[in-house]
Amino acid sequence: MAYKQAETIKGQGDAESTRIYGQAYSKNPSFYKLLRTLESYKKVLDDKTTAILSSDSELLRVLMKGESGSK
Amino acid sequence: MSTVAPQFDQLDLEQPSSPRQWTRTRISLASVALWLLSGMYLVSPDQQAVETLFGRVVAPRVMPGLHYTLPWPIESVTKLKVRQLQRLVVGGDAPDSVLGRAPQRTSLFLTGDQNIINLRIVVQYSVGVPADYLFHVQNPAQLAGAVVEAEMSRRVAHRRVDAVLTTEKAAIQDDIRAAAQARLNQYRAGVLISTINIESATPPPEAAGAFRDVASARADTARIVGDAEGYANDLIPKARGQAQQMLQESEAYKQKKINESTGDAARFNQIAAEYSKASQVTGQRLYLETMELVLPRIRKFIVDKNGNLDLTIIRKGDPPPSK
Repeated sequence: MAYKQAETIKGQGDAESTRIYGQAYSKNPSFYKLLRTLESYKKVLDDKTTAILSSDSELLRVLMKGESGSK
Repeated sequence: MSTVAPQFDQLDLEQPSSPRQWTRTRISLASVALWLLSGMYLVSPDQQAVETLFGRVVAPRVMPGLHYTLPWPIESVTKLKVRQLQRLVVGGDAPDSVLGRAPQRTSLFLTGDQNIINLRIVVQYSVGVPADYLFHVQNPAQLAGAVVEAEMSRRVAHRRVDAVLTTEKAAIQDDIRAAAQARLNQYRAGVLISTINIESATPPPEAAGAFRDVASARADTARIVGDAEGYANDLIPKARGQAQQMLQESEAYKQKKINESTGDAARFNQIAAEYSKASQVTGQRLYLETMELVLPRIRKFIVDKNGNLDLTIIRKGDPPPSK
């Protein structure tokens, strides 16, 4: 009985939280995607990760080709 | 003075002036005075007295103090200790099961459910109406005993043996006290019953064992019910507490969730507002900042887009930089 009530209240909390997130993020979905992706990079890529970066990548293009790479 | 006792006047008439006669007269007068004074009597605080004139009651209740009555044998006074409680036992001794002694005088009563029960009743009484107590009944104590026994028989006969032995003992005592007092008043026994106490109520020795079993079974029932109630009383508040705790935790969880999401949403809205003003540059900046944060931690190999990659370098390559 109490368990039922407790779970109901928790569910209300989850629903309300989901609603608030949805309302906020749906205003600008593409920015949310960018922000959230970058956020997850910080968590996902740690010191056990080995990356092979192409010199053609966004980050390194300038390194390889000088200022023209930024264009 | 000499006229008080007429029988001496006649003696005085013969030779009143003689000294011998005079002495006799004085002795006689003194005797009469003493006799008259002997009518003084004292009733002490715990007593009441009854005055009788030639055997007829003239003052049925003389209260404590100093009093005067006509001397014996005209009037006489009987004092009674009315406050003193007197004890009267109805029924015999309880059977002594240890020594196996049978009671000397038993008082057996028949109960409503055809059982025999042995009762011993102690009556405490005092004198209620002194005149009645003294003169109306020959033996008030015996009468009181008989009345109590009769009332007891009647009450017990209307009840079950178990009730007499256990629950209704007090009620029976009160009942009998009232009924016996009413009956004694009707007989004008002058007795005032103060308490009636059923001192022992035992089944006959032959059936005592069976009755004891019943009693112990009853005690067991009470004990088991008590245990169960105790268990429930212990369990229920605990469960209530747990339920309450669960509810409060869930309430806290809900609040926390809502607060978190509200905060996150506010933060996102503010960043998004700035982003929409200069989306290109801000996107670049966020990307590069993240790379700055992420790339120093990881092992990385930079290869040319068109070059071939020898994967063995990954294995023998330098260890990952420490943070």
